[in-house]
Amino acid sequence: MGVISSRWGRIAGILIAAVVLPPVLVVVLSGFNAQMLGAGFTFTVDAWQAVFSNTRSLSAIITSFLLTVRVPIGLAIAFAFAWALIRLDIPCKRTIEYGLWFAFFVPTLPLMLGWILLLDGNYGIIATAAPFLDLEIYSFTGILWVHLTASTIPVIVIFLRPALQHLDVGLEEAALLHGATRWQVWRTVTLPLVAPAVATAFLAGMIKGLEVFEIEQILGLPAGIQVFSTRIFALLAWDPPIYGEAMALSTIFLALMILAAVVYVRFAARRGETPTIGLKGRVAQLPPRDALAWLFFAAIAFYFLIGLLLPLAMVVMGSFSRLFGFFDLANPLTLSHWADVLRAEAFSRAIRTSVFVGLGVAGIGTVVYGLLGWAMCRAPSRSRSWWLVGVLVWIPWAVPGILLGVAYLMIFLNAPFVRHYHGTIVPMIVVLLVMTMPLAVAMLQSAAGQIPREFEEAGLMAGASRLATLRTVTLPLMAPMMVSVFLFALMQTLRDISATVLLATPSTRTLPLLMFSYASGGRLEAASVVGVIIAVTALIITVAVLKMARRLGFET
Amino acid sequence: MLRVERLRKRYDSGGRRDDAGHLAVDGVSFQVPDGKMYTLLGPSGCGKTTTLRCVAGLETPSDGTISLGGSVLYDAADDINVAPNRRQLGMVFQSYAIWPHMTVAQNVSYPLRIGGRAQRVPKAQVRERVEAALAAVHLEGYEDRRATALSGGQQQRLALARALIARPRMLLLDEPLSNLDAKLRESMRLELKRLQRESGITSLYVTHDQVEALAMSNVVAVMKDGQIVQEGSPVEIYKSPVNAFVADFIGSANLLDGTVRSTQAGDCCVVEVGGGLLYAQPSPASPELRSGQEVLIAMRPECITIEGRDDAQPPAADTPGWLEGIVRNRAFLGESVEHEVEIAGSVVRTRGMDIQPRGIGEHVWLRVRGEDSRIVPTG
Ligand SMILES: Nc1ncnc2c1ncn2[C@@H]1O[C@H](COP(=O)(O)OP(=O)(O)OP(=O)(O)O)[C@@H](O)[C@H]1O
Ligand SMILES: [Mg+2]
Repeated sequence: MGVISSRWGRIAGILIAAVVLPPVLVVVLSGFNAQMLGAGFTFTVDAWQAVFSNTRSLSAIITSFLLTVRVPIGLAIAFAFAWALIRLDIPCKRTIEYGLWFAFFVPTLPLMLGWILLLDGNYGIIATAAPFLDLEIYSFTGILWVHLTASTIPVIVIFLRPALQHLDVGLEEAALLHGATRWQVWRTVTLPLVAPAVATAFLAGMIKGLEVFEIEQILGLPAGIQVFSTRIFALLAWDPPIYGEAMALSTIFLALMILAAVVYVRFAARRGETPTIGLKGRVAQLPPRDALAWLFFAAIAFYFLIGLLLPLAMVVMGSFSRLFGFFDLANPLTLSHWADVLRAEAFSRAIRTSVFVGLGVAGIGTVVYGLLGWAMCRAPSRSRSWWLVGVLVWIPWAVPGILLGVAYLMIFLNAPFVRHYHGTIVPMIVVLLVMTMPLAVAMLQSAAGQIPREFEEAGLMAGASRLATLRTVTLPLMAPMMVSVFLFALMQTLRDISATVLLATPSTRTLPLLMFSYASGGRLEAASVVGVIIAVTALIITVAVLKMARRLGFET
Repeated sequence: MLRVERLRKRYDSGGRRDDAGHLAVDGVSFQVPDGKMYTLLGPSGCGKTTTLRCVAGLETPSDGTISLGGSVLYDAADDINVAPNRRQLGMVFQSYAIWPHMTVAQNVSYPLRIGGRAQRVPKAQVRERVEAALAAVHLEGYEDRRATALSGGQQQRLALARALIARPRMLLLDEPLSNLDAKLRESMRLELKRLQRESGITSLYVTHDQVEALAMSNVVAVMKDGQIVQEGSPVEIYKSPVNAFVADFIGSANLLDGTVRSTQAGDCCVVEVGGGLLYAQPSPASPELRSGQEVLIAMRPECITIEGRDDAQPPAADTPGWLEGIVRNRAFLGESVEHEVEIAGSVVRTRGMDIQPRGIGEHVWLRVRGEDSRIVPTG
């Protein structure tokens, strides 16, 4: 046996292509099709003319790009935080770590509700207490602010840290010994060494930053700000939906994303070649805790306080307030929203749907991607079909959730055989599985990669069959990462709005979709109740994942 | 008896047209008699591991046959390829491959607990055999330890116990000692040899360390570029290398260019090298020698004695067996002293136990006895 054969590579490639490529094809082809998917093909460029004949669609794409200005800002702050956390003896590191991961996992929507409660022009606490500040949440800067604090900063810190951590300090010390000043060392050694990691984080941030949806939808709508994803949503909300234009617009966007992804892969590959950032590097000795460490501690604590705790506290308060924002009523606090929500039929349905969809995605994803990640690790390194599998797996990473949602909506509305499943939770499970594939496979692949091949070969030599070896040797060693992936997929179900919003029917809404529909319908108190529930779940999952990571030995 | 015939292994190029793959094993044939230890010795990348893994069944050969005690394990012509888990072999890996999620006892007992129903052993017996297996490698009392809490040497012994517990038909060892420090390696070498002799198990051993190979094996095969270049007992390999590669690889011999001056049938001949004349023995594999023929002479460093210029018997300049040179370098190695002596442009290394270090730049005589210098075919 030894390795997985190329034949399995072809089989895996075909299966993955079958779920990954149709959405892309559907999007591109439908832009040129005058008929509905499945009804036949009549070539037309009407949809493309529509895109270019009004400015709304194109300006939505431009706005999407303008909003990514938060990425360089977030990167600068995140870099400083990540650097300080590694090179300075900052107090309460463990707590900061938990905070970062929590911020990473918690969906942005509850945080956004908190910011509305603080900054809404009519009832926001800050906005009404200090009207002269003229803070407006329903604005370009409001959108930027929520993204920056709720996701951009923590996500980039988490992605940057491993790369910075493995920087071999010996390289810097060598320069110091050759007489360079600290500043020269930083400029001539450190910066060039970390530059690829920073560039990679930047590109990843841009790509992920272009595909956001729910914040723009809720904060942008009142201000007349439209981005790509909300424009698609708007086109499909027409009756009848304007599929052609939505698809043509999506094609443009997809092309831009794939371009960015190619650049990204180039960079990531180059970074992989940098030999200095490896696991062997000697980690820096921490200097004694000095004023600088305290300064950074203060900055990070300030960020957590303002960026995370404040809006979260607001959501909790909002869920208990009689009328969102009006705390000067006679009886401002009430349990009635909790009671209403918990009693509502929609809520119990959402819980049920979330559990089924979440367990489906997490269960199927863990098993299938576990096998896939393991096989990719054990595949012959020069096998072409396995190389192709590696490429296919990453495609969904560059496709925005809303686009996946649209494509699968069209497939499940029109394609034979699968049409039958429209309106059930199956399309939602499929789209979430596709969405989680890139990261889940990468995580499991790295876990499998840490198991020496000889461990499995020793099982075979001891007389165990391939399957028995997989069960008794590989599985137990991959188990902690599989649990992490399970929780990660579960969390994906509890945070996703963009991919599932078009596929869910009123009777198959997940918790985040329920929250989204409450929030878009103006029922902010009810949305807060669901938001609190989701945030608490996220907290529990964060702790569980970190416990797993510790067991895996990824002491960060 | 393990029989390997015309074994070839070409690594797949993954379907790339510009690449025919890599021929790692190129027509290897050998036999390991029952109860003997057979060693594949060679430099890195020569195909030792690949050969061993083909025997294990972990790698599928491209051509040839492998059979063990009359049953065919692999035959390219008949399309037979027995799965590794059905070959009933024991294997010790270079990295030991001790499973970290199991205790010591779980690791050792694994081969008894797993596999087809026929192979499985009743619970009560498992206990006994685990105890016996651990005792044989001096690990009694460690049953409930986590396997990761063992030292390198202990893990090594655990791997050995695991490989032997199911009483395999044959034992395969791939550089089992290379991850141990020098001292431990030496004691494990003796231990391993003792276990192999006592259990009488047929063994195939792979190493790039000539000392290990010579010390442990009944038969050594020296490999180069996927082929066996010489096979023989350790003494034969050491004493009569068939070519310069083997001579150089086994014990890092000195190699000097020379010209044959006179020959005596089947006996020593006189060869002229840069610094003088030498008696030398033709190798059994080399063809008839003629006067005036260019040859290569191999001399082991420990067979060369160093004499001071003004020591007792200054030889006549053209007495065969004496070379004149200047000490260029020396190193004290604890149990011996090494000198590098320059002789007419080439450097000869000597190693001796009982001599005083010579001064650098000192003029010396080297004495080489006829039976210690050997003519080897070039190439
Ligand atoms: N899986 C593989 N795919 C392609 N080529 C391989 C593979 N494994 C080994 N080779 C090549 O085959 C040749 C023989 O490798 P092998 O591992 O058998 O050498 P070795 O004699 O055991 O060397 P070492 O002492 O370094 O372990 C090498 O050139 C190696 O690069
Ligand atoms: Mg090897």
